[in-house]
Amino acid sequence: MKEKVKLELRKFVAPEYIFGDGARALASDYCRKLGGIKVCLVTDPIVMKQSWFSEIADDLNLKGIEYTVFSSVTPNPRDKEVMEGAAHFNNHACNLLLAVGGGSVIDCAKGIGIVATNRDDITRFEGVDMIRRPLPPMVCIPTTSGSSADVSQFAIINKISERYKMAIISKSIVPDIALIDPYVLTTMDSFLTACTGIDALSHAFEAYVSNASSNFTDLFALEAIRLINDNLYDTITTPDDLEARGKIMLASLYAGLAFSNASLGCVHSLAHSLGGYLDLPHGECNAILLPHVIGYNFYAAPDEYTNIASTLGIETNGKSQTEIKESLTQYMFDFTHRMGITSTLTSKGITSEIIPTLASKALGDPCNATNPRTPSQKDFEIILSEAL
Amino acid sequence: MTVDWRKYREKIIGLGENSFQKSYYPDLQEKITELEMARLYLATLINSTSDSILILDLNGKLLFLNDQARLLIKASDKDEKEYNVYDILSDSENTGDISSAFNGVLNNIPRTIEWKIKPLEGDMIIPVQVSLSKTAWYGETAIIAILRDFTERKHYEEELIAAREMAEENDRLKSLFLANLSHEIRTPMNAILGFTEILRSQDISHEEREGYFDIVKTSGEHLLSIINDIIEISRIEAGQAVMHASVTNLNHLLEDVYNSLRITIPKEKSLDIRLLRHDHPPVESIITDEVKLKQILVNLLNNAIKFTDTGHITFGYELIGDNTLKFTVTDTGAGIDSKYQKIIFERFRQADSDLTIKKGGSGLGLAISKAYVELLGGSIAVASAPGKGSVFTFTITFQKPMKQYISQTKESDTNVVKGENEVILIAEDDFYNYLYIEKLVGPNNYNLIRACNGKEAVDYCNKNKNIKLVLMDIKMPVMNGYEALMKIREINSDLPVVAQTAYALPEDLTRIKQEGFDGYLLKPIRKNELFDIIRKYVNTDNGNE
Repeated sequence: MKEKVKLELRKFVAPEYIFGDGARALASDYCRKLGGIKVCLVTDPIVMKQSWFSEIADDLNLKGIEYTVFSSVTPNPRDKEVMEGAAHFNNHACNLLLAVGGGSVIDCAKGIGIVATNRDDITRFEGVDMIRRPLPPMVCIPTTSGSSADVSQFAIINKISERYKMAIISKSIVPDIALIDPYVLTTMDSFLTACTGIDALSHAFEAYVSNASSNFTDLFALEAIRLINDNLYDTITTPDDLEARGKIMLASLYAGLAFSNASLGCVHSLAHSLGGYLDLPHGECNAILLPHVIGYNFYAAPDEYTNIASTLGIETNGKSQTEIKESLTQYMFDFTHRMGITSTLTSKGITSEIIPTLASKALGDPCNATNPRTPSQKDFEIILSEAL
Repeated sequence: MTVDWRKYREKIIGLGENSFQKSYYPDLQEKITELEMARLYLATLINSTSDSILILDLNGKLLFLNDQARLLIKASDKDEKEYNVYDILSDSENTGDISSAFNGVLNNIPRTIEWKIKPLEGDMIIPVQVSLSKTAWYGETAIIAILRDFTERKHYEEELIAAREMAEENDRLKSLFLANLSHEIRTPMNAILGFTEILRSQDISHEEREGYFDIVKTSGEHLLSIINDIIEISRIEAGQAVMHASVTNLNHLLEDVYNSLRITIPKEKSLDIRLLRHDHPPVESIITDEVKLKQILVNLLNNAIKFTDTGHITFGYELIGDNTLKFTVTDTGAGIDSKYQKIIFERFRQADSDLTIKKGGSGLGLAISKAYVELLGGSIAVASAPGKGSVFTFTITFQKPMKQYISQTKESDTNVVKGENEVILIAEDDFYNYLYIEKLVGPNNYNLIRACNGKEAVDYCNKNKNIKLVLMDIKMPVMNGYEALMKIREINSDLPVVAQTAYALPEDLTRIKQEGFDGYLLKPIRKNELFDIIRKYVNTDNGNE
């Protein structure tokens, strides 16, 4: 592989983060450090049942930090939930957000923070840099190894009235501190592990081929791909293996740092459309779409995809682009199946009648801006049809 | 959704518009800008004030200095945080006082005190007024000290104290002076009243009578000179003494002084007075204030006579430079102790207050002389030692007349002129003053008419065309002399009208001339001056001269 340096201007934004076993125990200290007087603990009902969750909450009590829990968060968090959470935050006179959960919980917490200080409906903040006032301090403990919302400048909120996921992109929603603890992953079930792992992998894929990628995002993206390729299966088969969990958690963090700065592509614009319209699990949508988008994008970024293929262990030397493309798409197809994701769009209830609607909703997604190939309505319709 | 997100790519990756700013919040950015401006304004204000502002922690450690304070303590290239307030205080400051002031301030009692600052460099001590208040600095209780450089005010304060002391001293001196003055006035007055009383009695010889008259006259003149001195010193103090320059024959002036003072030496003193004459005088005529120059010489010589019992007094002048004359008056008298040599020129001062009593004098002569010398552009000095006599020297600057001045000074002829019954109108409200003129002039064959006020004088002039001369008093009831003159001029513009007045100030005399009087006689009227006037205006063409 010939090394190339990219001299185009690039920026890299990352929050302060602490990685390691036991990072979750620092939550109360950081809440105090950031001036927390009344903490709004955003989580979901499943996370609340975990033993380590009560440890975190108890520690807040122990340190004398008052908190109130907001847990009315569903997967693919809805605008309504954000508004409820913001009301909860203000009614309890909270001044700090502590999000303990997966991408949905953290995105919802970001939405709550936006509304709490900017005092307007969450839908008003859709788009890039639409937030005028800073959010309250925010501490995140990610409990899945996929979304990496804890380090990203993205928040994806489901706009129920129009059945699509709106993207809120702003450096101001990068949390203040991420406490990344692989231990909390051990309680994830295998399907969720697979879905979130594929989500992280697609983050890395899309960041690497993004037209806004940089030397640093490339570094993180390829390493994330390597780690997931080598270790995701192990975490599914041996869920309590903390080392394997740690590797995937690290991969998710790397992928998060990469996509937060290089942004994403058509896998995500289509997945946001599907998730918003049919409320499908985000990771599963990514898993279904990833091989088809590779096929669509390949010739717009053949070198990048070839590097990815090599990283995945695919023989690329002396192979034509078409051969590499075929190998890569097949590899990804096999990989998702191996991880237990065998669904197709048809199996998720998608019919060819709604494809134009899904395609048009996907066309309005900001992730398209950095896709190596500029998609059209027709392009999306074809990709979706192939994925049926 | 129809948004084309591609155009937001730069913003998404953080390289779009505003991406260079410190924040991604436009509002916040505005606030940061505002805050930065406010900070700048504040810094400008804090550093523009002429007061020094120091923030101290509770132990006196310096936490902050404004520019002025850095200048004050000369901390320009030093880190103020290494220093304590005690490092910049003069050793004379009591640390106990300062910590008690701090304690007071911390109990919310602001204090305004005085400190003496000793900058980190140099030995200067700067007095400052300090306002201490409690404040907070980065969340910690602190003390703010606002220092105002007191050097100027201290200077003024010291000046004020000196001025007050001087005023008190002056007050004391004036009281002393009044006591002396009272004595001085009473002494001749006593002689005048006493001998006048004696003169009433019939059983005294003609010689005795003449002697007593001399005493009364001398005492009166002495009294007059004292009064003149007082008037003059008042004018000098009020800044009204001005120079009246005229062409002066210097050698004549010295001769006059010599002649008039030579005869005043008391007979009991074996003292002679010498004028150091030049064989070839270096200057003849100069432009100066003749009256004042004469007065200076007379004062110095009078003092010399007063304080010298035996030996001699010499005086003279020399030319030093083109337009400076140096006069010297040397005596072999008592001399002046060096500690008194400076103060003798001050008003109301004499070397020894007791001596004043013995020797007489108002104590103003030298003060007047000094003021006059300065008016004439010079300075006065004394060299003396007790028992060794004194040398007074003074300089004056002068101008030379444009052309050779021809002396117009007429020798006063004390010879009385006889009239041929010419009519002279005397306008005089005071009977004794009129009587005095009548006694002098009447017996010499002049026909005198008295007017008791200006109006009467005008009436007489209207009715009597034979009046040859009017002697007009200025201050009179009904109509004053000025007004009367104006009316008389309407009747007869050629009639000589001479003012006779007790107003002796130069501005009075200037007015008398301006109003159109033909001349003036100063009261008390001297006989020879009176006859000079009569000769000039009445006997112009008869052969009495």
